[in-house]
Amino acid sequence: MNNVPFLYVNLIAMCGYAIIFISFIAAKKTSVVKTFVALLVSFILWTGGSILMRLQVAPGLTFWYYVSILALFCIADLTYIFVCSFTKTKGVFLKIVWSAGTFIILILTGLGLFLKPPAPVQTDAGTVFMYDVGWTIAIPYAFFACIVASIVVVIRRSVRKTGTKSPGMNAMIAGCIIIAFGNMLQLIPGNIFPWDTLSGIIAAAFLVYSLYKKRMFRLTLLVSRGVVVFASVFICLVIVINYVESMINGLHDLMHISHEAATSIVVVIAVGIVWLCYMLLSMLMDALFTRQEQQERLIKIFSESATQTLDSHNIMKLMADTIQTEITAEEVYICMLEEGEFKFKYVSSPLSDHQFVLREDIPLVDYAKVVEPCFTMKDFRGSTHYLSMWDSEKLLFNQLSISCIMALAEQEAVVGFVLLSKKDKNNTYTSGDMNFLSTISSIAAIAMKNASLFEQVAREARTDAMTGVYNYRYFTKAIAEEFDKKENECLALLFVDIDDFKLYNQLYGANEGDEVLKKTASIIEIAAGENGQVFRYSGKVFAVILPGYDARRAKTFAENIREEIAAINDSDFRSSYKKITASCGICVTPYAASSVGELVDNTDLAVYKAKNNGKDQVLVFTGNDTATFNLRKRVEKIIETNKDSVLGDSSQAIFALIAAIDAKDHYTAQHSKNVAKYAAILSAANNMSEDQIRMVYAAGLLHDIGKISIPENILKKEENLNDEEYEIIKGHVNSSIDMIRHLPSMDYLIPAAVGHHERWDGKGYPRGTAGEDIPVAARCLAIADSFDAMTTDRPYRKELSIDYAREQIEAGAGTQFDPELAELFIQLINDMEIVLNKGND
Amino acid sequence: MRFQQQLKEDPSKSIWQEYCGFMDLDIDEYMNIQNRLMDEQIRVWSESGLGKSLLKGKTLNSIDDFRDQFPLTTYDDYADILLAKRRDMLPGEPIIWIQTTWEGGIKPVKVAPYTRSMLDTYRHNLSALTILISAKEKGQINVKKGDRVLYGGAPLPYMSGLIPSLLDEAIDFEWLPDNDASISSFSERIKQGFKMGMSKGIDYFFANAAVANYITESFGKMAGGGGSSSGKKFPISPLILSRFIKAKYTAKKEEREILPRDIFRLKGFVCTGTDAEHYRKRLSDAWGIEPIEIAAGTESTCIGTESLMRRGMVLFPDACFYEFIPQHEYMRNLKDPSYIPKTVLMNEVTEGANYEIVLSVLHGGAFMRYRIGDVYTCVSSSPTGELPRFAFYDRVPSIIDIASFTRISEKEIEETIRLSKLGIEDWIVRKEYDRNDNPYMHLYIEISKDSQVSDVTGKTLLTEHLAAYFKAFDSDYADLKKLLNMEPLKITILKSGTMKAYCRDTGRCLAKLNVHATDLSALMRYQG
Repeated sequence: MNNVPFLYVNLIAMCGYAIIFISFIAAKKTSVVKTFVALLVSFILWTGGSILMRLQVAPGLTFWYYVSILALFCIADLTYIFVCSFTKTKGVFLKIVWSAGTFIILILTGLGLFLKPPAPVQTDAGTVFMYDVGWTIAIPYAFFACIVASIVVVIRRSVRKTGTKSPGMNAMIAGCIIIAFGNMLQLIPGNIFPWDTLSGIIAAAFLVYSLYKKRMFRLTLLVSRGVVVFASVFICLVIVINYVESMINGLHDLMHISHEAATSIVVVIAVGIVWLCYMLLSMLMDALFTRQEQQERLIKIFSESATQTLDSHNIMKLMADTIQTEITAEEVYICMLEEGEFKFKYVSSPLSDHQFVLREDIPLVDYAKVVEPCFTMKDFRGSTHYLSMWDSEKLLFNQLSISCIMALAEQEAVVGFVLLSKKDKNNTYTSGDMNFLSTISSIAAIAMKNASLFEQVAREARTDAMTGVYNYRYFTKAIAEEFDKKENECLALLFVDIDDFKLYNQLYGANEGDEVLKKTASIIEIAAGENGQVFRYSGKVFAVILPGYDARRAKTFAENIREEIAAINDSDFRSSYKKITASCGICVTPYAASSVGELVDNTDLAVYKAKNNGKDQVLVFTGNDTATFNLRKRVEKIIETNKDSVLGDSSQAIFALIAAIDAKDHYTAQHSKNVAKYAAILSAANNMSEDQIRMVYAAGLLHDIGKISIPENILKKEENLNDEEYEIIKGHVNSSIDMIRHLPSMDYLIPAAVGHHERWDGKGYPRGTAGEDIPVAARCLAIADSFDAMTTDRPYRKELSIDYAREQIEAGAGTQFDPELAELFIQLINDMEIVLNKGND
Repeated sequence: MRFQQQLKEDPSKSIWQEYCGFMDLDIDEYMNIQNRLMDEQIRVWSESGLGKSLLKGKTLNSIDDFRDQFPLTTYDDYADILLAKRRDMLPGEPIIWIQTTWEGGIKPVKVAPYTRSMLDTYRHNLSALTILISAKEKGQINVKKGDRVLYGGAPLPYMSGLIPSLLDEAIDFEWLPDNDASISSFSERIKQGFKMGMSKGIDYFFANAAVANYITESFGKMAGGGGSSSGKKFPISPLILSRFIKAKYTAKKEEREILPRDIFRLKGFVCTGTDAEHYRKRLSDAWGIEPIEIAAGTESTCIGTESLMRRGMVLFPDACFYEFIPQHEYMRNLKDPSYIPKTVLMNEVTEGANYEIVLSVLHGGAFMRYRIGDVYTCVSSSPTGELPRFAFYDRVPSIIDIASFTRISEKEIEETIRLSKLGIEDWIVRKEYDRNDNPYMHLYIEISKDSQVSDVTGKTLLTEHLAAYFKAFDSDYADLKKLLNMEPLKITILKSGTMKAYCRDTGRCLAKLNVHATDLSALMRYQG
């Protein structure tokens, strides 16, 4: 028999075994891996011994022959043990029998009973090893045939038990068949090729693959590029060593070139072969082994990206993209638990028209909790949980071609599902896929939880708890954002202010009032839909930001809302209740406002105007109203924002005095408030400073405080006063001064308060001063005092009309009143800046 | 994936879990499945025309509402819609209509619609059945492609005809007989199947218990070639031939007839029908394997099967929603038809008690809270949560069922007696069993005084005369003789006026059907 094929085939095989052996040294030593490593050692000794025998390396042919044949005779028993471990078959009895039998066979082999060492014979073709084969060799082979039969039985049982789809089973079976087939070929008479060795290396490759499929080890840990380089160089060396001489001779003869040139060409070719081998093995490794690396890279990227965002939609998109990068699922659907249902939230294809809702009690939930969070539809179908699936749910899953399901779990609770449709080319989901998906689902669940918590907090922070619409806090942010976004387009702001809401609460209770607020919010939300954002601006005022709305559209929108609000109490038992109305104000930028503040102020002013025009209407703010609107608003702001500074340290005492007057004479208390307000507006219109306006307002509040000393019968007398009584009344001015004087830091109000009954022509009291000698604040108070006295009910007469009051002021201009201030006051009445206050302050 | 492919590819453990896992459910898990599927069924059914017509405007959203407010139903409630096959009125699109007789020949055949989902569930449960009957231990899968099934059931459109069709969807069994259209007669089919079994061997035997008994009793004749003059000839396999020769020798040596167990090695044996329990022992002895009992019906599909331990049937959780009327309730309802009996659920049944079963067919079925007329005994109900097991007890007392071939009502007997013009003055009837445990109908009659004088009233003549009328009137009854050679009628003639006198003197007037044994003894003693 020719020595050469035995040599190089054995060399390649041993090289292959050695690489696998080195690789498995690092693997976790499970019982399967241990038995496989033992099998590898036996392969290495068999092939290595054979090589060294053929090379007749020291200590000699006989030694290496026994190393080789003893190792070969161990293979059957080790294969049986490996198959038992792989298939988790106990088979203790047979293991003992086969091992003991093998041990005996080995001893007998060592004694040279079956096959003696070969004799090297030199022939023309080289050294040939001649064996003296006798009948006794049949004994070990018969024994090995029994072991092979028992291997077949174990495999058959395992296939019946676990099915042919059991991971790695087919590869393991293929490996066993190949090695058996190779050994059978070896028995063909006249064979000169080492089929047994070749089949051994192929079988080893299959067994490695079967272990890989069974997830017994991670190939990336075992196979490095260094190992690949080593393997490729070693294989090429073997080839080159075998063929280099014949190649050089061939080139020399064929191309008629010198030995040196032929050697150079062969060296180049050898290097080329090494490079080619390296490339091919690298590609093979990439194809086989780097998938896990890619998965790890994707997981890392997903983990980093998902933890950096708190937007659940972004996380869902990232998750779907990551999954589809690694697994060729045709579609990825994500649904999350919301209000007791798993609602469809995301699909990887934007054109998918599937919208679905799954019930909270869908059996997937229990299955994910009890069995595993990531599972295939096939596994789920095989469980008893599937029995309780609804037909409609089964139909939906069929329509969506769902093949794999990932549960997103938060501690014990399932908060969402990722449904994966079938894979491209109908490939099945592998255990590798499931591991990858499990990791993704764990990361996604945490990221989604964080995002969900953030969104919940953000939602709560910007939502009004009672009505469910956004709150004022979010309004300030949203209006600024929308204003920036719509810089060159129109943006409408609408305020909806429920009329007489305080009265409604008083009439029917706060709960009924809350109902009105909820219904109003709902009406506005439905009307706005996706076109606008709704906010509870203040207690009874709702704001609606309407991007892209012009004044006409906004007004139509507001009119619809107003009509619906008016119908709130029409249908149910509240039909007998007071009708709900709302006053709506609109301002649209850029037409009537150039800043966010202006937009808000102007909308507010529009609401005021609507209120003052008789309520239950929609008014659009236009730029022409700016001056007057701004005037009254400015005054109110000056007063409201600085109330304490206006009244100083005596504010408590002042309010106590006002309350005392109110108790004694309600008219006087309300009158003082009205006069303070009218006079403040007049002073503002007269371009007085903010301090002056505050002073006028404070003086207005206190100007009649002296009336507390006037007997009640005089104050409330319905007939005309006699002279004595009139004198007593006139005394209230001095009384007021006496009282103000005792209020800390209020003495600066005295000139204003004391002069409010002085006349422009000097015929007033108590001093009789005239013209500009009368302080301007007092002149303002005088007009306001007269106006309010005329336009309110008095004990001795009913209120006079505003037109009459206006005429009287006009008539008194230059005599009773400062003519300029009187004219200005009339203008304010005409502009509706001065409007009658009916005592609800 | 087909069951057959699963057998090839999947581990035994997962196949067992998928098909037989329901056996290991605890009662809470079982009820969870029942309740969830019933929720869907109520919704789907209530929205259908059939549901609306029976609900009469009521809106019932929960199972509790349904049980409180929707009455129990019988086929009469559905007849208008189902007999007209009004598909538009049904909760699900019917794929097939299964039929059966309705009170002998008094009423037209009953039809029941089957939706695709019902059929899928039925197929799944039949696959479970094949695993259970062939397994020797839990988790073992012995079912194989190409297994041969001797099938003694009626063909479509009867319910038993669905079994081969559905199992064909799951696995390639060889049916004995096959779908040979040239064989139209049921008895010919049985014979043909048996001949094929003799040729190829038999792995499973599915049959009505009475049919199985008939085949078993005729075995020697059939196996010996008797009765095989018509139909195809099949070559006998060497294995069967060797077994046959050996069996002949053994039987001769033991001085007995040759038995099926001598020739066939059955993997599984399924018996259906009301009298299965009475045939069980002799069938076990003859075939060498204990038959498994299953519960199935035209309206209900296959609802239950015995487990490996043969300790009573577990009802499939996904076929129907089960309610049970306790015995005292259905007896009270029998006496007072206006009384609405109360029902209990699976988790409320108690061991040893008898219950009339009430079904709501899931997966788009038409029947809700439907009384099929079967009474079951709860043979096991564990407080630890193990599923209750049931054994068929009998039909409801208002029906006499013989071998599951015919169901005879009081009305049918009355009509037959009227038509026979035999001058029978009074009668009562009981289902009884002979010494071989064969069921028969025992009619106790009184002949009017006039007829005693004017007509021939010999017992044999009366029996033959009445049997002829039963056969003419009820085709199912006729089949008992035709197919199984059974004569299920026995007559005892009482002294004229005995029943009325007994009622008058003791104050205990006897029911017409299924009078209790003690009452009957008292009557006989009273007659003297």
